[in-house]
Order: sequence, then structure tokens, then C-alpha cells
Amino acid sequence: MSEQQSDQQTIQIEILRYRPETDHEPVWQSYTVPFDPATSVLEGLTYIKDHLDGSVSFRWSCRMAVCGSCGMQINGEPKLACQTFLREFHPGKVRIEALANFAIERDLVVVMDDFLEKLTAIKPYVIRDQDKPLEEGEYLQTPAEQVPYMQYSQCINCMLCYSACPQYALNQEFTGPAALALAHRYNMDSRDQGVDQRMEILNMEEGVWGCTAVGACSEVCPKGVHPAAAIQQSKILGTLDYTKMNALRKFILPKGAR
Amino acid sequence: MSEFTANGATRKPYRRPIKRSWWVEKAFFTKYMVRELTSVFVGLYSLILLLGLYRLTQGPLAFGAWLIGISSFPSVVLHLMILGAALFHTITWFNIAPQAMPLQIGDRKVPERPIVIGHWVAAAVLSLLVLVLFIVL
Repeated sequence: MSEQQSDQQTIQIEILRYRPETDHEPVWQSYTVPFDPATSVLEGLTYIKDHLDGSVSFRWSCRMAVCGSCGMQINGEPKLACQTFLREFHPGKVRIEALANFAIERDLVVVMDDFLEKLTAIKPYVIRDQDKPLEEGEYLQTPAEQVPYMQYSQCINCMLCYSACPQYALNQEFTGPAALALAHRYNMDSRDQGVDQRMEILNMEEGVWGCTAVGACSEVCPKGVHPAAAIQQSKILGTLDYTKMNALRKFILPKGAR
Repeated sequence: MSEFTANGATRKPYRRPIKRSWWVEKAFFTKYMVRELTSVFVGLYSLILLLGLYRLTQGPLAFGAWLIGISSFPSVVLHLMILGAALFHTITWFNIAPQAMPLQIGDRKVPERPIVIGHWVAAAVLSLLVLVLFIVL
């Protein structure tokens, strides 16, 4: 964005500010920002921080929808700021607030401890009954064995799905879309044998059964993970586990995972 | 969650309240609530059928009265509403079927469209079968 151009268009950006030292509750603050067709919302925020108000706080890193840091509510929809462009909203204004369903730490920064705890709780790594010795080499996998989980491994932990999910909004105990999708990603991995361990969390009220298939998580996911699909499949696994019909799992789980 | 930040300031996370009208404000959520509401209609339909079964145990006179009852105009309207609700639920259900039950041939996923169409074909064939059985018997 070059500042020499005087014929540049401007757009109004409103940010829900929250400064815990002084504010009792969040307040809206408005800024006028120059933009061109290639200016992202994130670049608009960077312009505000660099030229208008250095106190505005927000998370960002890669600027290309890979790191998952810049998720925020943009005109009421959870979106990645780097992937959303100011031109979409002109001549209207843009209203930006921190991701919904999370507590605001400061301005556009949310408290993400709950999400991180849930992410680690579902054991997102390959679990083996018995690890084979290093000298026997890696666990091999064919392209066909990658297909069942590849989609779910695209998650960038941006938390857009949590802010879209009404069940998480109403009950913070719900494990939530991304963590449940990641659990399914490992359950569907032919190298993994940890489905029973994960089932303890998945098959609780707060696990897959907290989901009522609203589907908003899949709508907002910037990576096409489709957490709602992963959860519905996990419900089948959970039902088989509860009814002690785990023998039928073989129709769902990859061969290696029993 | 630690109480203090790096510079020693006290943290004071702010939790925004959830509006009771959350499901009215976005069309996507309203559609979801309508889908959930269809269960009430399906439940109502099962109650009507159960009542019919109960009236059957009371003899031909009672069952005949039930039959006349469900042929009445308000009952036909209600049944049309129930049919609409069930159809709407079916559409939403069939649309997510390819995701809830993904199929794979070799190292390729089966595309969504044939799976959805397959569900409709199966539903049509089964409905026709039930209709034919009903007419024949």
C-alpha cells in the first residue's frame, strides 16, 4: 500500500476495543483506512497499528492462510483476516471483533487456553500398542491409506469453527469441532492403534454427542476440513463402542487400526 | 490460565454474553432450528399412528372412528405439514450423507453427487414398494 497515491479509496473499519486496564466492557472504535483491490482486512489492521493507533492488538503471522493466527469476526462472520479483502465491504464499513465464543484477552486477541487443552486431551499423535524398534524403520503407508484422514489433517487450529459453533457457545465443556476432527484424523490413520484411548473422550456427552450436526463449523472452515463430517463418523464409532459391537469397526477404521 | 501477564498486569478476560435470539439472527442457524423442529412433527405422526393401533385393539367400531378422524380436513392439512417437515429433514440428511458416510474406491474418494442421488433413488424405490404392497394387500 503506497502512501503517495492520493486518489486511493478509503473504507471505515470499526474495531471492538477492549483494554483490560481501563475498559469495563468492550467499546467500538472507528478508523478510516486507505485500500486498493488487493488490501486484505489484516493489512487494513496493520495500517491502523502502523499509522493511526499503535495500541490496537491482534494476532497474525503468515499472511497467507497457513498459520491460523488471524481469525476474527468480520461483519459477524468468523474469518481469517488475511484471506478477507476490504474491497468486499466497500462502500459499506467493516466491523471487526474478536472471535466469538472466546473470552477477549485484549482487543482482537482471545484467550485460547481452553482450545489448547481440548486439542491435547484427544491425543493428537500416532499411538501404537507397542512401538517397533527404530532399526525396523518407519511405519509405511500407501496413497490409498492416506485418503481417509488427509482431509482432517489440513486443520490449522484457527478456531473459526469454535466461534461458529452454537453448541460450544452454549456449553464450553463441549470438546468442539477442531479437536474432535483431529481425533478422527488419527483414528482414521492406518498407522494408529489409539482409537480405544481416544474413545474415552469422544464418547462422552461433552465429546461427539455434544454435537447436533448444525454444520456451521464446516461452513466457516478455511481449509475444507469439514469437522461436522468427522464428528458424525465418530458418532458411529462411539455407538459401536457403547453397544460392544467393536467388531463392526472394521468397516470404518483402516486395516492397521483394527 | 495464569493470573498475570509478562509485565505483571492483572489479566481480566471479558466474556461476551450470548443473546437468546442467536438462532434468529443468522439464516443458517434458523434453518438448523427448523430442521430440529421437524422432529416434533415426526413425533406427532408416531403418536397418531400409536393412537390408531390402540383404537384397533378396542374393536372395529373404535378403529373406524379413528379412520374417519384422520380423513377429516384438519387432519389432512396436518399430515401434509408432517410430510413437508419429513421431506425437509430428508433433504438435509441426504445432503450430508456423503460426508457422514464417505466411500472410497482405490485411492480416490467417491464424489458426493452420486452418493446423494443414490439415497434418493433408494428412498423412491422403497416408497414405491410400500405403496404397491399397500394397494395389493
